[in-house]
Amino acid sequence: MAITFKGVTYDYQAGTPMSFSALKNIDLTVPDGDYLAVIGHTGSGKSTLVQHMNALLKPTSGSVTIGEREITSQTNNKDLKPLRKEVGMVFQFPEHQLFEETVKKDIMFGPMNFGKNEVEADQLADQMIDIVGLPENTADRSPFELSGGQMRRVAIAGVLAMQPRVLILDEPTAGLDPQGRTEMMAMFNRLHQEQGLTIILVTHQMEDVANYAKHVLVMDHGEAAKYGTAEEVFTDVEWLRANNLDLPIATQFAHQLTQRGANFTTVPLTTAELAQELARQLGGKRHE
Amino acid sequence: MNKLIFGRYLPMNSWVHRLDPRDKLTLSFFFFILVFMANNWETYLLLSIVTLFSIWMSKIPWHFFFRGIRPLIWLIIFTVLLQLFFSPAGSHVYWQWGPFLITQFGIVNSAYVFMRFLLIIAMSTLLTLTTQPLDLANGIESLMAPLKIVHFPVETTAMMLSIALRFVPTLMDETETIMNAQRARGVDFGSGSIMKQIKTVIPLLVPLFVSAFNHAEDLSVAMEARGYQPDTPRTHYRQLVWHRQDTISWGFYIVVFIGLLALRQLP
Amino acid sequence: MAEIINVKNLSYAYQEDDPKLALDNVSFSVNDGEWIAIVGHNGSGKSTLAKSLNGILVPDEGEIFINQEKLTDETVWHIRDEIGMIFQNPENQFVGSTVADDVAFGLENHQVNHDEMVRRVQTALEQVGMSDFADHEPSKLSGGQKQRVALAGVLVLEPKIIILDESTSMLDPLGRQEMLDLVADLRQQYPLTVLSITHDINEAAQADRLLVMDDGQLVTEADPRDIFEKSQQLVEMGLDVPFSSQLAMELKKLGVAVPDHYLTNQEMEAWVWQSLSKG
Repeated sequence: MAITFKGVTYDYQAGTPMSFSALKNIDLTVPDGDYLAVIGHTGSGKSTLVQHMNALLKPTSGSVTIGEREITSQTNNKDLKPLRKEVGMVFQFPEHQLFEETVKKDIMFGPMNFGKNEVEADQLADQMIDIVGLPENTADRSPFELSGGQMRRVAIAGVLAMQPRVLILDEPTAGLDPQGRTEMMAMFNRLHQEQGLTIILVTHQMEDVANYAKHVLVMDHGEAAKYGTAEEVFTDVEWLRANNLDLPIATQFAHQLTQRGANFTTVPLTTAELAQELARQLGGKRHE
Repeated sequence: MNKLIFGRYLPMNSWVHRLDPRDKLTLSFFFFILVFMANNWETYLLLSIVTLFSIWMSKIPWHFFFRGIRPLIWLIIFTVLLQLFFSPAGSHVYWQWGPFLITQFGIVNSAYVFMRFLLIIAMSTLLTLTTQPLDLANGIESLMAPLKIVHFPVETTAMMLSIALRFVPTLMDETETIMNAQRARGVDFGSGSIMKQIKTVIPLLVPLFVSAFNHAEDLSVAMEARGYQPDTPRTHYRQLVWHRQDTISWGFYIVVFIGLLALRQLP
Repeated sequence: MAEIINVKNLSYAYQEDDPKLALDNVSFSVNDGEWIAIVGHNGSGKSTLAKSLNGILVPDEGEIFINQEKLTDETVWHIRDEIGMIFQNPENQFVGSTVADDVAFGLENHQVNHDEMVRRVQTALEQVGMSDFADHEPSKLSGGQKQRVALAGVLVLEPKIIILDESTSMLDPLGRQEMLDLVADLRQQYPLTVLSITHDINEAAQADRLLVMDDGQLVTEADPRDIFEKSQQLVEMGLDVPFSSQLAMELKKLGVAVPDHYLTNQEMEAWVWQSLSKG
């Protein structure tokens, strides 16, 4: 399911003295099966952008096409449900949305809103508890008794249980410890690989961008400042530096070496790629 | 929800914004008394002019102000209708059906109720739009100071009030985020039957309460760590200073008061 | 150097008959002016330890001395003056309605007079680079800015010790780096002792000493370099493997001979460049 933005502008509090444009004339296409990373500073419009992807926000001008549905400022708020089922959204700190008495009931909430019966929803919940890596005995416990990291998994399971075809992740690993972060990103990647889920990831973690994303969009003051593959975007080191954006650490390390006089044929994005390139140059013969 | 401005603060720099909060609080209270003293169309006209003048002095755009209080009109109209249909007989009856009757007294009375409501809402909206929440809390604390004599915990109450005000925007943002998160999980807020709508309140309120409790718990630890002890004297960073324009504004309202007393005497 | 914190045999359980202790016989001491990082998994007892140090939680057993003064009911308020704490969630420690009001909160509690208060608030805001934001409301600030305000609110009371309780974990990378640079910078100017509870490898690397907590116990106490050599165990400690160690591992796999001891990123870069130049 592709998502297309055509000349999208969004004004917060339009018509009041506090009005300001959070998005300015955005053109963007996210093809079906893509893994898009959206990066940029806090307040650059990343969250506003992704909330257009399941019609939580409607453009002030321009249009967003999600699959077959076109959303404009005139679109009625009714019958957006089929769309929201297809595009799942994991908000920042999604554990704040939990409310049910048990973990399982909370996970079943989404699917049942979208028309699944209790038996089907129950099965889906069991499946998702497994996928997100929650211990089985948590199913009948109150979500509020769990640790922060486990609550996060419950919330994510609740979105996955809707069986969306597009998954929007707004800084899904913020506040987790490194191990939890790695596990969670690996899980999303499995879903992307195995089920062909389209993923849109809003993040500050450049390592995640380097490891998983096919495309990268850089947002800056509400504008789409840069778009391309991870290699394309991270090649422009000077521009990223000037805009105070981080590089993946391996890319930065390679850039540092380039400054000393080293040569790289391609821009290494991950530690593994960097190591391969260095091993080749250092004459690690076993590799060749 | 963004359109409702009742209770919000609009940062600007006008003559009214700069007035002392104690001045604005007491003036608003005095104005409410004046509203209840009004008894004929001349007095209501006078108070309407005073209100419009006060809004004009605040430099808040007219369209912003009136669009902001428009959502409250329904509440007013409802009250007015009650007044209109259920006022006692005794004067000329225009129309009657069962217990409903429209009388001359009812019409006049409901017009007054409408004006009273509108004036009070306009003035209290103006108060909050032009006064920072913390200044309001400080003003209230200062005005309540005499209550310390009867061992009323004035400082603690003021602290509670200012923290509550401080967290209003935070909780508003969170409400919106939680609503969006539940919308994304298929909840339709504000549609369907009454029963359905009541059901949608739970996925909103439970997370909101949990969040509010978390805020409170963390905040109390942070406050304690910074040396806060309830019911001990504290100094104040914000000093309230009574300026000349505060006296002037009171003078203006006194003149209005005298004018009102005169107009009340009209037949 | 003088001992500023001394913790002796501290134990604490959240519930009375809970066999699982949140703190289990923890002892350590910190010298004046040291930067200590406390690491460990979520739930290992780090935050419980931090909250015991200024008497927010009262331990079941053990003693705490801050600046040679024993922590008791009588001394707790005095000791809180010497310890400034910055917490994880920037939203939940912002008491005032504006930046200046929030910084002044601690001074108001200490009944500082108005003129002195204005002066000290101004100085503290300058120290954290937030002077231009004095009249801003919290909702208009980024997370990083809020944490800097929190830092100003603590600095204004001129504490000897600052505890950062995962205070960078909710910030974006830029905000995090600014916060750490700021603390490092302040330490150049004032004799501050810093205790930072963290999962961030860069933050831990800045410390003079690492305390590793697990299951309520203090399991290791060492120089960060010594601990960073044990890459495998780092993940179990709730930390990341430093980039230089990851690169060294990858290179080893590809048959490149790398030094066995831990290198910082800069040292690694120098070593790689040297090797490249030789070839």
